[in-house]
Amino acid sequence: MKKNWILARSMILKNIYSSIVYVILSMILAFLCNSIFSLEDNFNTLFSAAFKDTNSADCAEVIPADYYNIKEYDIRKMLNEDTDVSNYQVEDALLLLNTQLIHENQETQLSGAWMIRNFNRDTNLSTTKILEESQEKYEDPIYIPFICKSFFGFKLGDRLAFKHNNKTATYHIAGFTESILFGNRGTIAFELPDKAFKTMNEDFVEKNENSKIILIKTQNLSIHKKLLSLFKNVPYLNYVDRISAAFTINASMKVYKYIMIFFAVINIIVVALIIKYKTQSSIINGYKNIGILKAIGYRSDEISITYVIQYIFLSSLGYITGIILSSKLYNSIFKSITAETGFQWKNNINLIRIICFFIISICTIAILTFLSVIKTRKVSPVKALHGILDDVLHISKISSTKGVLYPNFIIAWKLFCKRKKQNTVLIIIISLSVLAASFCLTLYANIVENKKLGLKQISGMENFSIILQLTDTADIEQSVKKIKDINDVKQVVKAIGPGGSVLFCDDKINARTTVYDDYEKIEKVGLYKGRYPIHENEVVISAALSDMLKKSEGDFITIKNELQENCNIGEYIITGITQGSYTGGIDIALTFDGIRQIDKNAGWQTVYIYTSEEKNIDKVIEDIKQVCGKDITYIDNFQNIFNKQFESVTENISNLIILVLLLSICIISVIIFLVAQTTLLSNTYMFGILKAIGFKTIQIIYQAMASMLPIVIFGSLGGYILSKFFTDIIITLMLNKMGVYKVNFLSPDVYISGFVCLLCIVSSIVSVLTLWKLKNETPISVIKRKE
Amino acid sequence: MPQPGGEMEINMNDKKTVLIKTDKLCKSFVQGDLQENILKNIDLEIYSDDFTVIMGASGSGKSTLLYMLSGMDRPTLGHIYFSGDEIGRKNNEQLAIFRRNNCGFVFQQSNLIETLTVFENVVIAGLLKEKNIAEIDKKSKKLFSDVGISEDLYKKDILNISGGEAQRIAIVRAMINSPKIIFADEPTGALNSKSGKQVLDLLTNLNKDGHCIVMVTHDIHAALRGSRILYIKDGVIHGECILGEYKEDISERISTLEAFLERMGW
Repeated sequence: MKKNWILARSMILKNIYSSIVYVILSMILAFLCNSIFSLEDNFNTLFSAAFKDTNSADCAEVIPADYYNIKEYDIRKMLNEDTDVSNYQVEDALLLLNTQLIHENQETQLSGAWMIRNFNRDTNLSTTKILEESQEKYEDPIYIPFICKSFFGFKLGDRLAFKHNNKTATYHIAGFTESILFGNRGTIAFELPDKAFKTMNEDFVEKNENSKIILIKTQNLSIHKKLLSLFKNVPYLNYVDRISAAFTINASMKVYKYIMIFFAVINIIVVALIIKYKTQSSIINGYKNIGILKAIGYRSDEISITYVIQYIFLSSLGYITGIILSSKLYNSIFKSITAETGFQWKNNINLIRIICFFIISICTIAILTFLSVIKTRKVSPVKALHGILDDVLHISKISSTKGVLYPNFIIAWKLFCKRKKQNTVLIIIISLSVLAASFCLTLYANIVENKKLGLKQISGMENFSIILQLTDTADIEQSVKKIKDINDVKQVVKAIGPGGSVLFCDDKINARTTVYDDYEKIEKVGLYKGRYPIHENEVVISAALSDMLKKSEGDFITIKNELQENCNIGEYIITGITQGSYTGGIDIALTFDGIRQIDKNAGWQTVYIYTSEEKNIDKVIEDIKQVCGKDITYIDNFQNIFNKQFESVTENISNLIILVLLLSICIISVIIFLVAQTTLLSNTYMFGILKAIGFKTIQIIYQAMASMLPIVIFGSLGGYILSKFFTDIIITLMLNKMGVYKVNFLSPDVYISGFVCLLCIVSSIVSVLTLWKLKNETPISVIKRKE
Repeated sequence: MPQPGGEMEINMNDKKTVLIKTDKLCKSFVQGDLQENILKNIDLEIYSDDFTVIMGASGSGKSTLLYMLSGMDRPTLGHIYFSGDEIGRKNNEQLAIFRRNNCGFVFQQSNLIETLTVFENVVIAGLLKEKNIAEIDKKSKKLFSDVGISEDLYKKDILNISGGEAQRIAIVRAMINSPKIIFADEPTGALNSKSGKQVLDLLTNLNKDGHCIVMVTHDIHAALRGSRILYIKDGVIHGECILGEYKEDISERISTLEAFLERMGW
């Protein structure tokens, strides 16, 4: 083994630059894999730990307290009799409806259920776990979920005010808490100390905002469906369980993981190619040395082991560095992704996983290398000492040619054709790299540069300018009429939702409901097949719901409001299919008359306004405040809400794009470097002869470089074509679980062309630099190198 | 043994130990449709304390014969026995082990590995038989001293030494595992006369110390060092000449050799 190490070390030092490149690629691979594992492991660990530490309930139902009091006996009986339910508790809560949250004098609307829990409650399910607490003691403390810090940027000591029904209650953030069910972007619950909780209960909230949270520990989440049978005519019902919570917490992370996995796979392929081609060039270059070693008594396997040791050493170096870097940089690189989880993210190193990755990778590298150098078995010491490599390494000669085309072009083309098999593989790799780069550039153009283009399609949200909510006593028709008369108001739409009441479809699935007064007024962003409903017996369903119910356009579904006693059951014909992540993917859209058939209490909740231009939104808001005055409970710039929702997404994508483009350029540069080296080694004799007969070195370099450009050009073309076909499909597949079924992203041809040009320039530079060593050599020295 | 039509000058081989014996040794190369017979039915014996020189014109097959005898290549037909063990039928891996255990090589180009230092070139050969680097170190230092390589050269790159020094280092590499036989293929072919003489002196001294040497050369001055000359022509041993132990006074050797070579058609 010592002798092998001496030889391996000398080979590494001889090819120091390519060794460094290989180490860097191994490092990137280890970085990606460790990051993927860490995201997965840490999420699972943190989720399980949080679940255990807080003794989290498996699911929770939030209903009005009055309602609970009436149904208490039945609810308790049902829960007691259910054998899957191991424990349940009921706690007081407040559910603030139509409430503004003001953070440090800025107005911020957070989406999701607004709950206030009693910090000093005496239940032991879904207990409070404090992650950070202020040293300062406040008279008006409030404890909020950690996601408010990680994602929204709130800090300890910040003021938080609730504005509700013209009353304001202000608190200081005294601590950040962790909660599985009530601490994610879908459901946020704040906690007030007992005294403040009671004060808010008495002075701040409406009677119907007193709630009860039924926390249930159960193996089987079907208890919810059973409880629904008791919740007839309930004014509101919020339900959350561990599965939906996990999905909400994990949703963005999954997307980034898939992208990293894609690049890890490309990296693995490139590493395998490097091993194959570098070992081949090393064998060609060191052919004589192989002959010497065999002559003095080295066996073929001993020579092969030398190469294996070389790559094991380099890979180990790369992996260790990559794992360390990943551990150190993890928090900063993945900050925005982990912020969305609401956990106080700790990057715990899973040693067993790292060791397994290490062992499997090293073994794979060893096998790959061994297979790549297995041809040294055939090397005869006699032939090797005389430099005869043709019959072992099958290096074909350039065939003679007749023609009137320029000799430079002929030679370049012949050099290109010599490497048919190699070229095919390399073109595929470059295509995949360009596909990845084009994919990211498309994301950039549609999500970062022009947010509305892509995010609208993904979310399925209509592109409203202003959102307005009026008091229950306001005359909505009058208000709408007044608003229509305001300058720069293009359109006014009355709505229920989006994602309003929950209706039960075909006795199988609950879906959130949206109703607009006239679907012709909206842009129909989310519609992906058919049309929106016009008549009262028509409905549009989301694509995810369509899959679940196995129903499509032209089919009938039954819909009822399970929460209403003796409710009507409506039968509706499906006229269209929508898609989008906004409501979690399971939703329906009805006409106003359509929903009134089954929900007698349905009424307009919100008014959406389109302005003629985005820049006029704030002015129009002021105008609306003037005309509607005290009827307004809430008004906001909808574009700001939309942008804020996706801020972290655009930030993450921007970071990702830079990484992907750099990686693509690196990978392709490495490939060109390898090809240039192999070209040089395989054609040394020919280059020497060309020099001898009068070709200038720069012409020879140009010929070799020109022979490589087709690989980049064909590869780029392949990647571009693939991106045209697959970008939309990939995005759809990645976001399918979030309710996205079809996107039609604009292809940024200018950016992609620019990137391809950059690739060609970089490839040319790399190939010229690699071949530059020919410049200082005389024809004889070049020819003799072959001998 | 010379082939029919050849000559045998003096037979002084009766009481010597046979190290290598060939029996109707043939070697052919095929290129496309053409078959070229390089060696044809060669029967010969190499004795353990001889300095055997193989001479012949270019393309006569002398290097091919050397490679057969050393296990670097396998015969097409016939047998080769090394200390009674047939090596002609061994596979590549077995031949590698045979070479490491029994043979040392000195080539025309020193064929040292350029990416290793002087010392490392010897160590990688020594480690084939000896696991202990300290032992190799001790042995190589003695050998370096014997061939006149100073310690300050040990850590030098091969590219920074002269041709003569490189060839002497090659001899050290050949000797590190105490081989039974040393094969030298035109060892002075790429050296100037001074360096060439140094190398030949080393080989001669090794033979005097009891090592068997088989050398291929077309240089008469190099051939004079041999105790036994075999002349190969058109793939057959055409003649043999016994010169005996090398002495400083070479006048008689020269005339004997020149006469022999003239008869051989040199």
